[in-house]
Amino acid sequence: MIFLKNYKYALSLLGVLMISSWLIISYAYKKEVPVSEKVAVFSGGISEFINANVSENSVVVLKASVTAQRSEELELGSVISVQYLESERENFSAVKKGDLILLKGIYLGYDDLFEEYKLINCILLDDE
Amino acid sequence: MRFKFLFYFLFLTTLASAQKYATRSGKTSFIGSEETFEQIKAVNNVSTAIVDSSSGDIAILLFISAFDFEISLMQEHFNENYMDSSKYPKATFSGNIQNLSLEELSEVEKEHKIIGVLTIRGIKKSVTINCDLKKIINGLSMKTNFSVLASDFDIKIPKVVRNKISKEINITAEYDLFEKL
Repeated sequence: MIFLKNYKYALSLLGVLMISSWLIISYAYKKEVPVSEKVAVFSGGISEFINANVSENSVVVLKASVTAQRSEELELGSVISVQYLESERENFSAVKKGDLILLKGIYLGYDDLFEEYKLINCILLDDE
Repeated sequence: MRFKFLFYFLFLTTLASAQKYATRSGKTSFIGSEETFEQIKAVNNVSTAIVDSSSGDIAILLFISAFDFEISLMQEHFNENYMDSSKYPKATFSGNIQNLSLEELSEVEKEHKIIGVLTIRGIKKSVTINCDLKKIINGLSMKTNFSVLASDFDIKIPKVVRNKISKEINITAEYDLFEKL
């Protein structure tokens, strides 16, 4: 009887340990929320974006014309460098210089070397 | 005479612009852990760099928050607890590649010495590092690997994780720089 009682106690302790371990591991290995699901703090055109003083590492939505197209990036309004996610390569390959596009990405900050604003992990949005 | 002047002006302008090589997608990575279950390593694929081939001057800028970790919680701790990236968002390097001569570069890597100043968390530190340079189509490729002490940049490692995080951080940079137009 005592053995059975101890057995039950050990079993419930093991259960608690397993659940807490699972919770800790889930928390530690939680996946980063993709850009598409993040809430944008800014939405608008280039001039509004520059004047808005958007804080670094914020998610923004921009509507602007493509002024240059380089191998793995775009340039908007000659002042914003856009680098996109690998998964978006196909969508961005259809974009041409002069196109008006709507995109969502993370604003990293101002790049003093190239004197431009830097957006990364960008995705194209449907402009309806 | 006017045409001659214009010709020289255009020639020199073209030459000057062709002397700079740049990248916006340089790869900078680091390993900052001892032999642990989950290695502390991250990569930044959006480092920017400019090299002036005539003088050998080099400038590199990278955003700390653009370091990508496999585990997002690790990335959060790195930015908030160790690098304080909201206060110090950028790390920079400015220096000079010693004895850089484009004519002497080939498709085979050649070792060069770079002397410069590395700025992390607003703290400047003079460093001398070795790098391998080689010519690639329309540009040059640069690879370097060096170590810095976390304590040099006032990066505090809590006692609890002191045996997991190295005092010395190993940094690798691989940049393909192309003519800047």
